Order: sequence, then structure tokens, then C-alpha cells
Amino acid sequence: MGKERLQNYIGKYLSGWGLTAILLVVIIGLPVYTLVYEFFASPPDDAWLHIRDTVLTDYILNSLGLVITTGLLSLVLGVSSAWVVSVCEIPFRKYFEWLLILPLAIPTYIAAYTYAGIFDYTGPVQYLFERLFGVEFMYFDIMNFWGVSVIIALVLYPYVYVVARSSFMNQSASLLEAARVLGSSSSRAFFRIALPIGRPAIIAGLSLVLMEVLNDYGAVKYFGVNTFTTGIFRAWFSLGSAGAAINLSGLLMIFIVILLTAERLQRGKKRIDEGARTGRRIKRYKLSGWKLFAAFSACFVPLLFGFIIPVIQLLFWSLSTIRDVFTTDFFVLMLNSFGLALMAAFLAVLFALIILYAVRIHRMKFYSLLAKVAPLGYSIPGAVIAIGIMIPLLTFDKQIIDFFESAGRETPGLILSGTLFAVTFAYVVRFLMVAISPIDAAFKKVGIELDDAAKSLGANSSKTLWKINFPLVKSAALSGFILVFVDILKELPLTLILKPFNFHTLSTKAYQLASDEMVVESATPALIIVLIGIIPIIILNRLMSNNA
Amino acid sequence: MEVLSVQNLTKSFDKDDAAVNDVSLAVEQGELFALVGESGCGKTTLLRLVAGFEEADRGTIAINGDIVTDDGYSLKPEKRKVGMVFQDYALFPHYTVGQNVAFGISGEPASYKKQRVKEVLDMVGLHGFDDRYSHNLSGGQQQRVALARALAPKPKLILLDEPFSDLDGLLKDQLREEVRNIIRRAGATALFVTHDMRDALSSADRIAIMRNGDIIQTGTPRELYDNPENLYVANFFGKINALQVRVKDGCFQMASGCIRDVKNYGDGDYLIGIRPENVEILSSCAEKCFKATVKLAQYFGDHQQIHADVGEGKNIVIHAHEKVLFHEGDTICLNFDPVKVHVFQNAEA
Repeated sequence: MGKERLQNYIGKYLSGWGLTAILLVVIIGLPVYTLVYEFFASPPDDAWLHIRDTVLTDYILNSLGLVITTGLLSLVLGVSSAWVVSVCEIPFRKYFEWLLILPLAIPTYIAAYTYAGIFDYTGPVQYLFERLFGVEFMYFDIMNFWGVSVIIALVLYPYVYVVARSSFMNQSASLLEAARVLGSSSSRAFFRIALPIGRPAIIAGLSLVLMEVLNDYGAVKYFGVNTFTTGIFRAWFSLGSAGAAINLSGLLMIFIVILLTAERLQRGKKRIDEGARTGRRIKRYKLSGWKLFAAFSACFVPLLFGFIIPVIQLLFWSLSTIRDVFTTDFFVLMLNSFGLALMAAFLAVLFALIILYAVRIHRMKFYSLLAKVAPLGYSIPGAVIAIGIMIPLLTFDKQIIDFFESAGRETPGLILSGTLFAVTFAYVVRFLMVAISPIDAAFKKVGIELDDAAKSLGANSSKTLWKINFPLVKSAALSGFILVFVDILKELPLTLILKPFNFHTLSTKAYQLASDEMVVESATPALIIVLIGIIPIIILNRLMSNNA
Repeated sequence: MEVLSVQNLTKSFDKDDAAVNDVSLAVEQGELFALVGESGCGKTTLLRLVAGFEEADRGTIAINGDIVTDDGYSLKPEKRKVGMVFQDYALFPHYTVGQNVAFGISGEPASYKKQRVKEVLDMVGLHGFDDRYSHNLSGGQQQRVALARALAPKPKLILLDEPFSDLDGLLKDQLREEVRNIIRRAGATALFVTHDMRDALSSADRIAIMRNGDIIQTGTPRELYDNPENLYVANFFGKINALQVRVKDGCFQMASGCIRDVKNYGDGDYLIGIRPENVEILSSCAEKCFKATVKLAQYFGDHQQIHADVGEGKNIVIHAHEKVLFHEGDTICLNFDPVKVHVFQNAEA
């Protein structure tokens, strides 16, 4: 029985599933290995020294500044609207509940150049002003740090809104009523009870906003604000320095690790019980007069500026250029975007299923850790992932080319770094989290005894996955698939760096047109991205109302 | 023939405490064998070891003469051909009753599968339930589907994990009897775990009592009831009064009297157990009785439960069926039949 015993021993720790999962996680870590290795191993080059001595302070101050201003603004917009929707009776409240999430459908770079167009010399604000008052409007320059801060906050506040709303709604009515009976005004009850209880969740939402801020390239670049991300692009494309790009990426990652650690620490070990979920809902305040106006504005203003105005503007531009835009080229563009997003989303869901099923089979700490490490790419900015993937792939391709050249044959070109392989790989690294979270939640709802039952009836691991687990997590896998698909469609910085030469997606095309002073022509691809971006919001909203 | 043979089985989850500690047992062909113990005594771990969901540290398990677990070797659960009924039934929610039952029948033609599903569903009294989904069934029906599913592949051994714990009173009594009959009719051998002695008494041929990973006593229900090895075993059959007494001059010495030692235990200190229903309240105090003071009397309709002080700070619970009502502070005279007293040689509580 010696051989069997050995197999048995190994089987406890490893299986086809386990091995595949380990392999996947090792591969997914590639950009991190590059970053760490190059950051410490490669000596500083001239480009880095130049950046360090001239613009690095700018990058740091601007990135830090954006984190603070957009962070604060998102908090104000997200928390106030969530509070009103949760405890006040205002007209259209039920609609506001989900409408307030819509701004999330607009990627930051699209919001940025749409607003730039709106406030332009030839834009509608200027036009209206002249028509109404017959005088030229004092030109209002928004193309600066403050402008971009406000615009980014207007489309990212929903991250805060969503968690704040669910926290306020889940808090037991009796908590707030107890505060009122003890003599607190409604605002005191908010600041002393609701806000402290919701704080851990709200800060977690805020950290998502800040990750997006640090990931953004299109908006800050368009508005001429230099941050770490624009710096990485400049180092890579203009200065041609991998070393400088790596150093900037490394610094940015240190910054992000500090932010995430702070978020972890504030959450702490203490779990705050939000009170009985089954308890009564809060009895909503009936408001009138200026209070009603203020409450209504808290909901309407973010929606108006974060979604309605930019979408109307895009629609207007799109309609005026639709004849020129809808050409064969445009359909190729759609095909590129959708094909790429479908493929990468499929891979992300597949990887997520394999990794999570390995955790389920082996029921060991090692594998749970694997599932926690695998999706960390989500907190790494797209530009950083792109650089971390591009460097090793380029090295590999050059080796291949050298090999063919030395053999005197025709060289095959850049087979990994110059093709869709690189960008697909990077999407999976960056968005695996988006696939893992819903599928993991669904797996946790499927009792482990179902697996045991299947096994006791003679089913092996593959049959158990295929017949029992997969059918039960199918809808979550579909949600994950759609969420990744849409995230990829919106993605800009990573795609800009890794896309093959002369290849465009909706997002890169929209951005390129806007950068080339063709904002009006860019509206149609942008609008398609925004409209498709609404789909996951509907899904997420449904998931949340199911949980509530 | 032994369908299940477990020898010197040990399993610990943490270093200091063994969940199953050097346990041996054998289940004969056609037998219904119950493992009884409080939660955390290791009975479920033992069951999961037999099923193959846990791997033993030491010891062997043989099913139908084939060794499935042996020092570092553990046959996968899907290869053991053991049927299992889970505590919460673990019915596959996306399958119909028929599909659930058919799941374990493999390598057979479709016609056989269909017929076998029908056969097993008839056996558990769920004729015509094939197309229903489990969430439309009552708890008792789900239980029977789980049993049918486990029986469908004709396993030699069937394991049941707390099969009745999710059911309420009346249904439970009915199902115990039914499950027993179904397993009998199927000709299967069953091992089931329960924390409720009544489950075991009403369905099992033999019972093993577990505590802290050890099997304390094995026997038929009658053997365990008549000769419990210690108070722990005796407790499973209902409340029992434990008294530390001294035998002297052929008599159980109480503070206020003595009862004759009919079995001649000999002088010394003993731990005895008396069931509340075996304590008699005498209408008048005779010579062979002892006195007690009522501390608390609760009226339950068919009987009164009386907590009485028998002196030296010792308390005793009595189930009195007398018509007369007792009150706090009453002095009563008690007697018990010395034959009905359990005397434990080891004075372990």
C-alpha cells in the first residue's frame, strides 16, 4: 500500500485543481515580481534623476492633493445623499435610491473632457450666457487641479453613497429612536450614532474612490494636472525610461499600501453590530420649507452634475456627428472592444472559479490565503500593472527575436508584448477581484455538506463542481462576468500602454479623439461606454436590495 | 459478518485534545447501531471518519472487510460506497426529488435508474414526488428524500448524522419508527449518531455511549438501562439523583434513616443513582425510611416534581404521583426499592 499511501498523502495537499490554482496565482503575480525586482535591482538612470530633481514634488503634491480633495468631496456628496435617502421623505425618494449610483457609469476621463467641452469658449455655458444677457460670459477656467477634483468626485461619490446607504438602512430604527428619546436632535443623532456606526463601511467605500483617483490617467492628463500616473506615462513613452516608470510605480504603490493599511487599521478588530436587521425601518422625517429644499438638493445636485448634464451633452454631440461616426471603422472598433472584453472577462471568471473551487476542495489555510492574494491586482493602478507586464514580456520577445536572428531566420516580431496577449493578461490581473467577490459570496452560500453529499454518492471533484457547485453559483458567475466585462470596456490607462500598435478600443479611441481636439466626435464611443456601464449598476443594485 | 469494523481509531484536531480517542467498534450485518453522546463528544467526527470526510491519525476502518482507512491511508469518500444522510439533509436545491435520488446511481442504463428511483421513493412513502423540488417539501419529507437518495445506490452501510434533530415532537416519533422500518426493509446496515437517547432507544439494536472521544459503554438498550456503567450513561435515560452514601451494617446510611442493602455491597462509600420516579413517598413514616424537607414543589398535572432536602445539604428530586399536594416546608418520609438503585463502583460523577 506504499504507493497508495504516498498518493494519499500528496492528495491531501494537492490535486489537479489545487495545482492549477497555485499556478494561476503565481502567474498573476508577474507584474508584482517585476516591480519589486526592478525597483530594488536596477540602478537609477538619467531620466529618473531628471524626474526626481524637477517634477517629482509636483507628482507627489498633486496626487496627495487629489486624494484629499476628491476624498472629502465624495464623502460630503455620498454621505449626505445617503442620509437623506435613508431617513427623510422627499419627492422621488425611491428613484433617487438607485439613480444616485448612476454617475459611476461615467469613467473619469469621459466626465473630464465632457465638462471641459461644456465650459469651453464655444460650449453651451458660454452660449447660453451670451444669449440671455447679451454679454460675453467671464471665462470660467475649470481646466485645473480644482476643476478635475470636483469632476472626479462627481462621478466617484457613489462608492461612498452605496455603502453609507446600506449602513444607514441596516441600522436598527431603535438605535436612532433611543438617541431621540435621550434628548438628541436629529442632527446630533446623525453625528453621534449613525455616522460612527457607519464609519468603517464608509471609509472602505472611500478607499475605493481613492484607488480610482490614483488609477486615473485620462482626466488629470486632459486637465494638465501632473500626477504619478501621468508621470509613469511620460517616463515610459516620452523619456523611454523603464527604470523611471518603475521607480514612479514603486513610489505610487508605497503610497497605496499606506492608504490601504490605514483603512485596515481604522476598521480594527472591533465589529460594530448595526442592530437587528429584521427590526423596524427608520420612520422617515417629513420635511417642509427650506429643510425639504436642502434635502432634495443633496440628492438632486450630485445626480444632475454627475450624470444628467454630462449624458445630455454627450447625447447632443453624438447626435450631431452620428453620420460621420457610424462607419465600418466604428464597427471594427466595437468588435475590438467587445471581443477583447468578452475574452478577458471569460478568463477572469474561469480563473476565479478554479481558485475558489480549490479552496473549497482543500479546506486549508494555504488555499484560502491564495484566494485572498490572487485578486490584489485590483488595488494596483492600471498603468503600474501595464509597466510590470510590459517589461518582462518585452525582454522575452527580444530573446526570441535574437534567437531567430542568430539562427539567420526571419524574426517573428513581438509575439507576447505586441499582441492582445499582453493586454488580456493585464485585464485578468487587474479585474480578477471583480470576478472573485460575487462568486466567492455565492460559494459561501452553498453549504459544504452538499459537496460531502455528492461525494458520499460517488461523485468525484470534477463531477461535484460541474453538477452541484457550478449550477448553484452560475448566476453569480454571470454577474461577475458582466462586471468584469464593463470594467474592461471602461478601462483606459492599462489599455493605452499595452494595446497593440494601431489597435483601438472604444475607450482608447474616445480618449484619442478628445485629446486631438475632436471632443464632439468622441461622444459616440463615450456614450456607448456610459450606457453599457449602467448595466452593472442595475445588477449591483439588485444584488444589494436582495441582501437588504 | 461485520459490515463495519473500527479499530483503535484516533483523530485530533488540536494537539492536546483527541476528538476520537482510540475507539474500537463493530457493526454487524443488518444492525442499526447508534452512537450517543453530548455535543462535542466526538460522535460526529467518528461518523465523518467512517464516511472518509476526515482522515484518521491512527487506527483502521474496514467496510465489508475492505480496509478503507489505515495508518496514513484513506480511501476517498466517493470510493467508499457508503450512504449518508446529513443532519440538514443536504438535498441539492437545483435538482428535483427524482434527480436527487438518481444522483448516486452511476454506470447503469437509464431505464434501471428510472425504475430504481421509483422503487426507493415508494419505499420511503414518497410515490409520485419525482418532479417536486426540495424547498416545496416538509421537513419530514425532505428527511425521507435524503434517506432515499442515500439508499438508491444500494450501499452496504448507511450513515445518519443526527437524523431527527431538525424535526419536532410528534413528527419525530413517527419518523423514528419509519426510518427504522425503511432501513430494515432495504436490508441495509446503519450507523447513526444522536444526542437524544430516545432516538437511539426507539430505533437502535445496539448503542455505544461516547464521551470526550471515548466509547464508555456499548450494549443493547436494555443492557444500558439496567446496568449503566456510570452516572453519565445513566443520565441519558432521564434525570437521576446522585447521592454519595455509606454502607454500614448492611444498610445504606442516610442522615435520617437507612435502607437495607439487599445486594451485600459490603461496608464502604458508594455513589448511588436513584431515578426520581423510583423514590416513594410514604403516607406514614415507617422504620425503614428516611425523612426529607420539601424545598420546592412544582405541579405538572400528571405528577408533582419535588425538590427535597434529605439532610447534610443533599438534595433529591422526586416525581410524586400522589393526589395530595405537597408544599414548601412539608416533612415527608421517603423510601426506595434497593433493587432499583444503581450503585456505581467507581465514584466518578
